[in-house]
Amino acid sequence: MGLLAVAVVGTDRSALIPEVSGVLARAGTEICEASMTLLGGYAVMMLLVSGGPSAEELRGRVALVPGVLSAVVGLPEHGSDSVLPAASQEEFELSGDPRGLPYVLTAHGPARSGVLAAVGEVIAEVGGHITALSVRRGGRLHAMVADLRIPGYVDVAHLMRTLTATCADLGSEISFRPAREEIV
Amino acid sequence: MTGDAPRAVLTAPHPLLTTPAEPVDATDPRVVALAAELLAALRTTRPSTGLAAPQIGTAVRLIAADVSLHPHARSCAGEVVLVNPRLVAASGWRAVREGCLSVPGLTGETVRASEITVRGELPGSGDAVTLRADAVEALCLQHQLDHLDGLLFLDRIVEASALHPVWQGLAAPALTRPRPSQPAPIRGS
Repeated sequence: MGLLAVAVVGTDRSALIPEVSGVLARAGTEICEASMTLLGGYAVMMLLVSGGPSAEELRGRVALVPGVLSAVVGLPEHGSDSVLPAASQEEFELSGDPRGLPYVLTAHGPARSGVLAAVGEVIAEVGGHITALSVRRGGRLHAMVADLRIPGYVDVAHLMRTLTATCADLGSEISFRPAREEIV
Repeated sequence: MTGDAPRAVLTAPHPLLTTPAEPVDATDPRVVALAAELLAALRTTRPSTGLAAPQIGTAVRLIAADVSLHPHARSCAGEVVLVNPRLVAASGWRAVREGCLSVPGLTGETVRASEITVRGELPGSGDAVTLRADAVEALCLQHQLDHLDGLLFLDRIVEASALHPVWQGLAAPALTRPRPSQPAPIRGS
């Protein structure tokens, strides 16, 4: 069975999450994955649900939650296709884990458009992948933290220099460090 | 050097907050005066527990801390001012959530040592001093030492999902469903 993606934006209030999740439960759906955060003072929820009614019917039910804007779309079923480039045995031995190595990038500086685009371009150029991202503002400060996967063959020192120069052009400082990922 | 009003705390982005600070002579009268200013500024920012000289506009290696009012403090040396402090031992790494007076509105999860030893000099006499700290005092001192190296806690956040806004409880305007003929409202840029 396919999944439905439910996006909800609403004024932050204590009843919002129980109201939205209550609608989904009464519709017979199961919440498979969900994320909620506050952006600009608004509660923003993204959920993947399975089961229950059609996207159109669920859209109508969620729309009845007061004070929210929402969207519900059906997602096609997907198999085991990978977004990772195919790697030969030789490349695997050279580069290690084909998912790449985990890093965390922080960039902070004055609020300025283009920082994320510039950083994203540098990461993509070396075959890296941004797997999670938070961008926040605190006063005049613009802070971005990204989880990255960088292929093992990448010259990380060169990448750091490129990111530092790219962000410096936009008035931002960066720190780039291996992620703590201890799976034991 | 000492003014009537405590110096204001700089907020990011500011170049002094991302610039390594310089070592100073702990017996220099100007450093003694700055230490008094730093302590005076710290007293105005409570319940905050520490300040570093770059935060009040002087890029020298001087920090102040006082966790005596913190409910979760264990070790507590009272008001501490250290010149040229350096971390000489650290153990018991733990995830913590921290914020900073110079980064208002944001907090983040970092990994800090829960037990540390810091050596430095006392302002005025220049006497060497060793401070062993744990829990909140250890976190506070590590945070201040980072300021002396031009680092913010943002530079130590463990992952993207560990950057958090400070919840202010401010009500945002109510959302209204756009009419089909109108584009959706866009706030900000």
